[in-house]
Amino acid sequence: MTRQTLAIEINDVSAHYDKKPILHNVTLSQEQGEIGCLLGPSGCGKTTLLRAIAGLEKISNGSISVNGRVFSSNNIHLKTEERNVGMVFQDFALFPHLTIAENVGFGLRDWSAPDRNARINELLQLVKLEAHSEKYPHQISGGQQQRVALIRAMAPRPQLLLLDEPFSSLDSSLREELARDIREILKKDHCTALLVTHDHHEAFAMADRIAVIDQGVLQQWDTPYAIYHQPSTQFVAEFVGKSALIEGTVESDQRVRTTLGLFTPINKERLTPGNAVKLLLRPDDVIHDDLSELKFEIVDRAFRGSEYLYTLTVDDNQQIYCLVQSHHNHAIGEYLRIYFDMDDVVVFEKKIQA
Amino acid sequence: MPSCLWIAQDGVKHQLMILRLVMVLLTFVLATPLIVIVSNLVDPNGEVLSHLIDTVLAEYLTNSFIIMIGVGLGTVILGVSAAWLTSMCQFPGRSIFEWALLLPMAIPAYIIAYSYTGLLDFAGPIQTFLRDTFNLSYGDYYFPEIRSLGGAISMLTLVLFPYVYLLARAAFINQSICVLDVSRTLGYGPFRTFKTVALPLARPAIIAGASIAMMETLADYGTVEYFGIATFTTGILRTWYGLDSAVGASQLASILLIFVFSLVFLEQYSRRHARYHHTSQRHQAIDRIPLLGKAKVSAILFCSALVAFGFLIPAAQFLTWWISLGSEAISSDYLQLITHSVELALISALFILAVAVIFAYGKRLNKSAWMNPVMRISSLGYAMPGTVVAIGVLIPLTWFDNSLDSFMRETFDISTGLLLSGSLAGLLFAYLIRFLTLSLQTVDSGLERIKHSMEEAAKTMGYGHREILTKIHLPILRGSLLTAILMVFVDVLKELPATLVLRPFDFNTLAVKAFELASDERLMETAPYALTIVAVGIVPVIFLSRSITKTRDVKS
Repeated sequence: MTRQTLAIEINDVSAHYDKKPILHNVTLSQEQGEIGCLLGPSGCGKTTLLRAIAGLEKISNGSISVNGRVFSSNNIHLKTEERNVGMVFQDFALFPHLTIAENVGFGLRDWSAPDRNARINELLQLVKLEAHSEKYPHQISGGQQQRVALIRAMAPRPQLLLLDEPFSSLDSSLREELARDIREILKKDHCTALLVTHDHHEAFAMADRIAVIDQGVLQQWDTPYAIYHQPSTQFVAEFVGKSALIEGTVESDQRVRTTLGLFTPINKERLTPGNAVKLLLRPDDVIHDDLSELKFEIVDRAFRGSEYLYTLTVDDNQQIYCLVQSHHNHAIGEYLRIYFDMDDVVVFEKKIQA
Repeated sequence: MPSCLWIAQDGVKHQLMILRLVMVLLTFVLATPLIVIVSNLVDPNGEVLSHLIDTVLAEYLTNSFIIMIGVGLGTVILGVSAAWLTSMCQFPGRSIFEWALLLPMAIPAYIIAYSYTGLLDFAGPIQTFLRDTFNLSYGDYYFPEIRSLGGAISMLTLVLFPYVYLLARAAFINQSICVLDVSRTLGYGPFRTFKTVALPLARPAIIAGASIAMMETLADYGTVEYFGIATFTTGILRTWYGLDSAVGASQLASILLIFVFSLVFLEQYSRRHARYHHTSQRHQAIDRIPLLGKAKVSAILFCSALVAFGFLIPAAQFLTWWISLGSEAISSDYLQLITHSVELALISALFILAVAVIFAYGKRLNKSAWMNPVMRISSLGYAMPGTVVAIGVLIPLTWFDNSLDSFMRETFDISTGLLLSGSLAGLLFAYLIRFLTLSLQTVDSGLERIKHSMEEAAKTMGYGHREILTKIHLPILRGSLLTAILMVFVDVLKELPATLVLRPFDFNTLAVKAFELASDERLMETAPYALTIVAVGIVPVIFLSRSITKTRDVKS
């Protein structure tokens, strides 16, 4: 296999807004055809990074290259209109004075009329909106507007497609379905795309790789599975999904002793014996089994349709979660028998208070 | 989110600096009349003011105050009742009254005053009819005098109540969804609900509407001058012309401005609080109370009376006069005047639009804190009465002309004469101060529809600044720009006092001509000019009523 040029190379990028630092030395790279995702709480700098790639913001340090060409660096700032990147905006930003077809064709002004019309029709068919081509944006639904915004950005075949919180203004019931649809559309068109979201469900549904960002610092850049099951920081563990953190100490053989027993962590070489650590337990690591000897009292439960999320008390100040099929209906106060099934045991060294 | 993409480009940076500079300069120019007038208040030479205090000030104060309060009360009673009936009750003709109640806005107060004077005067049809029927002669009977404080209050109330109606109606409709139903479920009947919930909740909107009506009242010149009532506006011009005292006129104007700006404050204050009252954004059909029997008849009669007295009767009166004038009416004089007026209004509207566009873009591209005072100062003029603006413009322009003239005469032995104050420049300046806000608000709300993300989307698709302007901004803004031109155009045609003071020698407009004819007691001959003004004045009313119908459509 020949080595391809990377679609996106972000190298040591920092950004400021009104002298306030927004991004700190972010480095990551993405292969062609991949769908990447910038995930983090609002204000973490993920949107700034996306806009910097589009050229809508300037960076104060580092460099951004797309397909081997430097877009932004200390002394280069290629204009947005010369970057050939497509962008889907949070509010869709459809032009109210143009029809759906005209919106989609807006970026195709240099194409010949037959080519342009063919491309418009091809894309409208892709998102099943052929029947609406002559309507105006306000005449179609939010989900339809979203798809128009997407194909408008895809139309000129940009070398990179950027999506800024593309689902945030839609009903939550629509989001997951649309996320899957859009992933399919992007894959069909062999698009390289980078998405920004604060919702890990969206990130998991869309992305091949996810970058978790907190306070302008890149925490982890990995596959969705690794982000969930092998988080590299406590922030990542707590931001993507439910988690329980159990106190433990590192033994001399670098296993970790907790009130729940001895565990062998994946990153044990890095641990210093005697140190206090926290062990990550996902609700799906805790398996209910009536034959198990280990049992804990149920202090809370949340019904989720197909399953129950039970909160179990380990000792006075520690709790764990357990996800169980909802046929197993246990009342609060009962004891639930469980065992642990973890492919990867992840521990975090306790934060040293500065 | 940092979204001023234009700033990001270095090439645009110094264009932005120029724009800022232009805005600051314009703001200073716009504030000049106000500064000139207020600075005269502290003039050490206080002789004129003490003379005015000794003689006429008390009368001006009393009259202006009585008319203001009278119109305030009158517009609130008529406006709130009309708003409640058309928004909350169901009766035959309700949907027609909903927009027809706006028609009186089309008639300036001084115009309606001419029609009722003609109707109700001693020689008018009503008194003649009474005398003929009952065989009476002059002095035998009592008939209310139209040229009085009460007459002025009635005239102004008849054409200004729609301001209260509009705002109260919007308040009733918005609140009905969220709280009125709650009140009903808690056991309050519809009329108790009105008294205890709807009315208090709509109070900020009603106060705001009444404040606008009272501001217009204080600004009125044509009506009170025609009725011979001594108020601030008539007093300012009498002091200016009669006593030949710019200082005295300015001092009167300053006192008037204290009243006006108190009302501005009241209006803004009420509106700010009004915002918190809308707790729900949901649109839901209003369950209107069906009126039956006497209530139904009274509602129909009440609304019909407002439309009839505020619009139909005066319009019919002018129409009758025009018809009885016959072929004399359309004189070459009339046609020339129309051309003059339209030219002036069009030039003014375009000129003001240009300034409005500068301010609207300046505001969009500068998010810094100093924009607030700039925007505020530029919008002060809408509250300033035409007479005040007129002398505020005339004083600095005359000073400039005289200085320039004497300088030119000393150095080059050429007389430049009244270069600015005697030309259309002064008039344009005054209109700019008066009507910039109108134009600016329209452009601004249009510009707000163009989100920054739309510009950014166009950039990601390879479009540069100029193309974004022609392909995105211009087509989306076109409607707003046309509306802004139209609104100012109509208001310039209707404007009386500033035009009267500042027009170049021998230059007439429709409004001035009607005023002159009425002052010469040639009421009948005002008909063509008055009717034209009314016809033009209907245009913005159509806009308003269209937006009213739109809100109704959403709800049904």
